[in-house]
Amino acid sequence: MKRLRFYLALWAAKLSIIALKITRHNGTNFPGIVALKICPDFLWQVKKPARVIGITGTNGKTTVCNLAIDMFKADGIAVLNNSLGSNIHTGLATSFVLGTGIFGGLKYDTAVLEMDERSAPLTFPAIKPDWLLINNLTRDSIMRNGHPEYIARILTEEMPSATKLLLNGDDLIASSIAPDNERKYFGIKSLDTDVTDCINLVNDLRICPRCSSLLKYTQRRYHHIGKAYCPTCGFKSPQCDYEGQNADLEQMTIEIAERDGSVFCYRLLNDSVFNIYNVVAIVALFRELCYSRERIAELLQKIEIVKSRFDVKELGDFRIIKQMSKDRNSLGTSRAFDYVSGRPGDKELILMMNNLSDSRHWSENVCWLYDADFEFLNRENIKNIVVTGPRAKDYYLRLKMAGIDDSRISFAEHELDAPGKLKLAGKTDIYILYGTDSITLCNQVAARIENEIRERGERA
Amino acid sequence: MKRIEVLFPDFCNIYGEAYNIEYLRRCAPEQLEIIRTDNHTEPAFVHSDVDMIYLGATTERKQEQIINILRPYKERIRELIEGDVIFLVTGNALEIFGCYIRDGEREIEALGLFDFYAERYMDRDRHNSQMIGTYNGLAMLGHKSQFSFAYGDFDDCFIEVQKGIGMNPKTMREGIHVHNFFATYSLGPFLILNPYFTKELLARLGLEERLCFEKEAIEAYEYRLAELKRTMK
Repeated sequence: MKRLRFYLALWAAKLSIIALKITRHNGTNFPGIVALKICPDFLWQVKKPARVIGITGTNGKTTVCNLAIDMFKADGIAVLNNSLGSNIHTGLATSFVLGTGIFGGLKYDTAVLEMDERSAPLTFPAIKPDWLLINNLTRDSIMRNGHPEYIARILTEEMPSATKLLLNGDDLIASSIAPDNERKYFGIKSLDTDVTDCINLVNDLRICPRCSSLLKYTQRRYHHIGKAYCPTCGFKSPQCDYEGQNADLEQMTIEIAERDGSVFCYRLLNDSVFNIYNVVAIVALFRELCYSRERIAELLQKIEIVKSRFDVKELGDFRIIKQMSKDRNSLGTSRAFDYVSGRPGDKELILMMNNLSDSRHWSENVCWLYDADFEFLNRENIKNIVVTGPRAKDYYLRLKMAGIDDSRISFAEHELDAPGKLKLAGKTDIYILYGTDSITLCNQVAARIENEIRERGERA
Repeated sequence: MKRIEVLFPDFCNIYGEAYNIEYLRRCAPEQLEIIRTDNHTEPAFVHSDVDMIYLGATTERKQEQIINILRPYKERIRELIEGDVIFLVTGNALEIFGCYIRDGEREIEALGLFDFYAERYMDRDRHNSQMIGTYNGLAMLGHKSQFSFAYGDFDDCFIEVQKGIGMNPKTMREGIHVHNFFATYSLGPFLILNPYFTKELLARLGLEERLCFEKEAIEAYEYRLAELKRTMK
């Protein structure tokens, strides 16, 4: 009876995929919802690949997951994945519906699954990754995730005991998860941009989790990411098994040292610190999967960071850059601000990280704006910041609080009017910072910027 | 010079809280001294006069640590409240001043300065809501995001909620207001979200009612208020 229900769920979910295609609906979660509705233990019953790799964490898990999938693809291995769906249990169920034949046979030997950290109680009992990579645990949307301490507790409580962990050793919250599980650490030895004092508003690990003394950071990338120790009880960052060093941002390479003392050079895919970590994480993962260093280096030459997160288009003197900056996520936003403001050359920004779904039924919680480092935008080469969308007035106030003068802030109530507020004076990079539910709107804004550039060019 | 003591800023910085006192400071930079007290230092209010005390939202574990730190000073805190010292307490920090916090089978004794208790629901989805209410004729806005609710009569509530919920889903009474003690479950930069209340707070501190970026703060507030009135059921 149990098995019959599973097959009914599988077939109904597969039919729903056909129905969605015919009716031209997206509904990437829907087949999974159908499957779980008919068979609540669908994820338990469905066959799992021989090798399941999970990727979780607060920021960058989609990028790391996509990189891992692309690495396998470049190696000629198709993997079950949820890159087109969501990372919660319904999205994972959809992936398994797609990856399973009508008689329940599995089409893949390997799965690479992005797993939402908050959904661990719903996913981990059914899907037990052989490897779980946690790239960081930081402050996220308070509405959903509360705080990192809470998420760390959930992950520790729910972690399958046989899962081997691959943890960011430079994140003392992530690296402390599930202490009884077998683990390896990755990290970065040092970067030219390292500091010791926190220059960010958010620092989720100021206090030793063991004895509540003030932690001392010997190196800090940003927020609580870096190397730290407790002068009172000796709690400290772990020694990394894979450690990036000598990052060369001109040649776009990084050396990664391993525990045995060997050092190998790999290609960097992007020069942001976030993405340097992502490459180190990918190298660590594939080394643990027994890939040779040379093969990993070869595969890294063949892959790129997915364009939906960072996309550049050149148009005469201008470059239009779409930069995803997760709404309601102060740390992700701070990283995006830091990266953008650190780029050379003059810039104009359109801030539209509004959570559009929130603004339909109430007013988006704006607390995160006061955790995000808008102060990074107070730099000479940022000539104009256009604030727009439902939170435009909140951005305006926040930018003023960050010390930015009125002359460098423009206001457009509606996103599609924002391009008209650009100054477009000479060679400029135009960044559109957009949130997770405004990808379509961002593309529309980008198209309008192109028109604006052309029209102004013709008038001149 | 007015003295504001920020209690345990390393603990209580969960969601933009730091900007509450930073905003006040910027409203009257020459007239405010900010004392930031960490978890290993005796609070300044114990042996000296302060004009205002701020305690912000924190994690559940740290909330329990704060109760233990403040317990020896319970009577001093009562004396300060009765002596009209201003308190601003945001988010789950208000639970510290109730009788106890229940967390499953555990009962965590709190300071017992006000007659209510709180209950945590860590195994449920976090409660998130917005709120429009009134205090002293002012329209008040608040963001709530919490694992717990408080239960009691709340005759001395801070805000009468019109849309949203109060201390728990069954009451429209929100927060505590006794003498100059103001506590609310609303978290984050409450003073930036409520510029008119901030003006009142400045007046209670004996300072000029002039806000930093007053025009922008009030415009943003008016926009959010209109948006919430329009969208919230």
